[in-house]
Formats: sequence, structure tokens, C-alpha cells
Amino acid sequence: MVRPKNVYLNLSFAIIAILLTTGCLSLPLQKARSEFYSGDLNQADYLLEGCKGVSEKDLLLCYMEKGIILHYMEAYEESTEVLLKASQLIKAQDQISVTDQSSALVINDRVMTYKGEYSERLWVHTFLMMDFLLQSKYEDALVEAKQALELYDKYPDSLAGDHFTRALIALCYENMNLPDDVRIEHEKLAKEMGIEKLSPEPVTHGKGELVLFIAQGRSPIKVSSDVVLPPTIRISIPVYTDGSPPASVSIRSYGNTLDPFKISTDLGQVARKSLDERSAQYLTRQALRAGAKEAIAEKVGEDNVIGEVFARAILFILEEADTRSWETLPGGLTLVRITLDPGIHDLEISSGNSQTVHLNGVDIPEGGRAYRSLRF
Amino acid sequence: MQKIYIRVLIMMICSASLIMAGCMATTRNLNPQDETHYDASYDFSDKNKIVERLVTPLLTAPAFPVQTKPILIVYPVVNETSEHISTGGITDAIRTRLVQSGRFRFINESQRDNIQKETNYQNQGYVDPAQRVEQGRQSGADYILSGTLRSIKKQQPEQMRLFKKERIYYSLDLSITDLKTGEIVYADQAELAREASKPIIGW
Repeated sequence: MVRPKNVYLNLSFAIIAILLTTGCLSLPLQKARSEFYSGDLNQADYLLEGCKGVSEKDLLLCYMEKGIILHYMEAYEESTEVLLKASQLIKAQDQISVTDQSSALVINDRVMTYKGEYSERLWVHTFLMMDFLLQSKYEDALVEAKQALELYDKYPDSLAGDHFTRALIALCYENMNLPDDVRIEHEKLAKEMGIEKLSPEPVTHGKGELVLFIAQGRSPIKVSSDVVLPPTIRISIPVYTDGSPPASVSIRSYGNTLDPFKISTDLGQVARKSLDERSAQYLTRQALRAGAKEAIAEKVGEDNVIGEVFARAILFILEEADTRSWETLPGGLTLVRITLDPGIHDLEISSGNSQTVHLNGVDIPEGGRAYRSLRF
Repeated sequence: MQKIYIRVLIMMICSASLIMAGCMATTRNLNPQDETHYDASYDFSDKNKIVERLVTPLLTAPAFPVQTKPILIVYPVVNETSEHISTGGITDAIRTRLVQSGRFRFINESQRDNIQKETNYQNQGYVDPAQRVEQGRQSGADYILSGTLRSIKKQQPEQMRLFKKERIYYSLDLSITDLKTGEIVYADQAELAREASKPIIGW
């Protein structure tokens, strides 16, 4: 016969261990994010070196954050390498894990392996497409475009609002001289945007094009939204914080304001829709977990009333929403395509009321494209 | 008493050996010609199959009579699949097989810069004039060998099931273009189709 006191003691140790483990999971990730937003990209990259100190369950987040950090350090080859690992991991994790599900059933969703929201899975390919285009690897960019299209087909409702990625896919087809696919993607994009037709100016003989990937702001983060039901049932679900849509981008060249082809995506809006789409999954798990926790508390209460109070308190504390997300993502992404004469150009790019970025000495090839990625 | 100690010791050694053997990393050699697939995606067995399928008929193609020994230049196979496939491996293998057959000659396009560097060096006065390679004597290609690798992927629709099925179809279109006329003088296609399934539930 096991003494109730020993049971409580063991339970307390187990709970403290779980709390400590879950609390420490993202320490290098949190530090790297904070360094990234304070502008020390090298330190942010260093903190995620080899993803040391990051739990296996958060490995995907580590790859995703590091991929973006390296992208904005202009280390496009290294960013590609890391984001390809993220892409492979997403595919490898595309399975329902019995261990994950069973531990989430009694603890919380935070103990599960992070698989990425549908939108985040798409943005891995979006950043890979940008990385490959910036390295002039057009075939590889097209491979990523096709993988992104598979996700659009799989989660059409969640991802329909991501116009930037769709326009990027069309651009990848354009680079490979596949006009039918370009037309199809532009038709889909026009439909999603609710406009009749969308056709950016083609690169003609004697002209060139500058393609800008403009990132603005910071994507909204997930926070916990809690509801308490009697007697001690705590429902804790993740919700995205409010964000603002991407500000307008203006481009000037030698004193003249240009009016190029622009397509923007509010990443926060797509992320929210994506999370909503997944709500049935985590709400079902919440309901099952609430039932399981209630049963555990009642079982403990059969032997000891104080024990039940103690167990209820611990199980209440343990209920925590999974607020993990890809936090270095921008709030908005804008694709800008500017037709220019071949040669060297100086440009000024401003986003809303924030600072102006000077792009000097951009070499536009005749009949070709030059690519730049900026973040405000 | 001593016997018990010995038995316990033997048991411990056996258990430790079993555990260590179970955890030990292993390596083994594979025959590159053996067909091994872990999933539906493209792998080295497919490369071998595609190359074999395309090279065999090319060696007896009437467009290239035995005595002519045409000179070919290989342009990379364009990857239009949804996987990052190094198509250089396919073109290299096709070229190797054709060179070994003795029916075709090839221009080494990837070594052009190095050839130029080396011949420039030889003609700068450092090399014995009798041994210098004369510039302007390189062979010109008669034909361009090019190709496109494509894939069509289909996944089983979302429904109640224990396994996720995936079908992939690959095709490699190979063509040989006459540089003088711009005409496609030879074309062939190799196809592969595969289905793989993966359990939806895992540990």
C-alpha cells in the first residue's frame, strides 16, 4: 500500500520538474530573439549556433528563427541551409505522435513537439524562395515554389490571404520561362485579391527589373487567453496579439517617385486565420485534458480531501496555452517590381513614417532581374 | 558463494554486451545497382534506372551513324520537380556511358576557363615552344544534349485512414539539338512512377 503522503511528494517533484523543464525550453531562443530585435544580429546568430541548449521539441523554432536571422545578415547561403533543415523537419514531423499526445493529455500542449502553424510552414518556403532568388538559383527557387503550392492546396482557407508568397511563386515561374504557370498563379492571385486581372510589366528587351522583398515591423506573438470554469477547470488557449497592417512603401529614384508593381501580405492576419483553422484540434485536446484532470483530482479526493485540493491546484497551474511561435517574422511583406533601364541606379525606399533606406549602386542587368531584401 | 559472484558477473557482462551491441552505430556497403527506396521521392536507384533507360537506345540511334563519332556538348538537365535534385549526376552519368561506348565525343564545357588559363600560361613564354598547346585548335560541338526532369505528385485526400499514401511520377525528357540547323535530331523520354505510404500515427 502506497502512502498518500508519498504520492503527493512524488507528484510535487514530478510537477516541479515539468515546470522547470517547460520553463527552460526556450531560453536561447528568447535571448536570440531579443538580440535580433535590439539589432545585434551576430549575437542572435551566435546564441543559436548548432541549436545548443534548445529542446528537441523546439528544434523547428530554432531553425526558423536562425534562418531569418541569417537572411537579414545577408548570409543567404547559410540561411538556405538552415531553412532547408526546417523544411525537412516539418516533413519528418508530419505524423501524430502517441507520446506527444499522451503527455499533452495530462500536462499541456506546451510539452508537444512544435510542428509550426500552417502559415509558418508556408513561410519557410517563402524565405527559401527569397534566399534562392537572391543567390540567382532559379531552379531551386522553383522547387520551393512548388512545395509552397502544395501547402496552398492543403490549407486553402488558412493561406489564401498570403498574396506576397503567391506573387513570389509566379515570379519563380517567370524566371524559368514558364508563362502558362505564371498566368495561372496571377489568375489565382487576382481572384484571392478580388480584382479582375493582375499582370506585372514583363522584362522587355533593353530594360531590366529590380525586385525588392520589403519586410516591415514585427509579426504578432501568441499569448494565452484563459477561462476558468467551476470547480477548478482552466481553459487556456493561444491567441495572436493585435497587429497593424503593413505600411505603404514609397520608392524614389533621383528625386522622382516611382509607381511600381506592389503586392503585400499582412502576416499577422494570415497567422490568425491559420491558428483559427487549427482550433478544433487544440479545443478537442483541451476538453479531453479537462476531463482527465478532473478524473485525477476526484481519484485523489477519494482518499484525502486536502490531497484533492493540492492536486487541483497543481493541475490548474499546469494548464498553459502553447504560445510558441516564429517570432522573428516581420509583420508584413511587400513584393516590389520596378522596371528600370539597365545600368547602375540609386534608390530611396521608405515605409510609412519610418526611416528611409538608400539603395545605392544597384546594377540592373539588361533583360534580367536584380534582387534585394530589406527590413524596416 | 564464489560461484554466485561469477554467475552474476557473467550475466552483467552479457547484459552490458547486448545493450552496447544494440546501441552501436553500424555501417555496411551497398551495391549501387540495388534498388532501395525509403519513400516515394527521387533517389540514386532512380538515377541509375533513368540513365540506363535513356542511354541504351541512344547508342543504336540511326541519327548518329557509327563512323561519324559526333561531338556533343552537355547542357544541364533542368529540374522542374518539387524536390531539390542534383541533375548534374544524371548528365554526368549519361556522358560517362556515352564516352565509354566510343560512339560520341564530348566538349568539356565546365573546364573552359581552366583550359583558357592553362593555354594562356603555356603561351606566355614559360613552356618549351615545342611542347606548347596551340591556341585556336579546340573542337566545336556538333550537337547540344539537354533535358528536363519533371514530376507530378499526388497525395491521398484527407479522410479517416491509418496510412498516408503518396504517388509520384517522374519523367526525364532528353533531346539532342543540331547546332548547325537548330533542329532536334533525337528525343527520348524515361518515366518512373512510385507509390509510398507512411503511417499517420507514430511514436
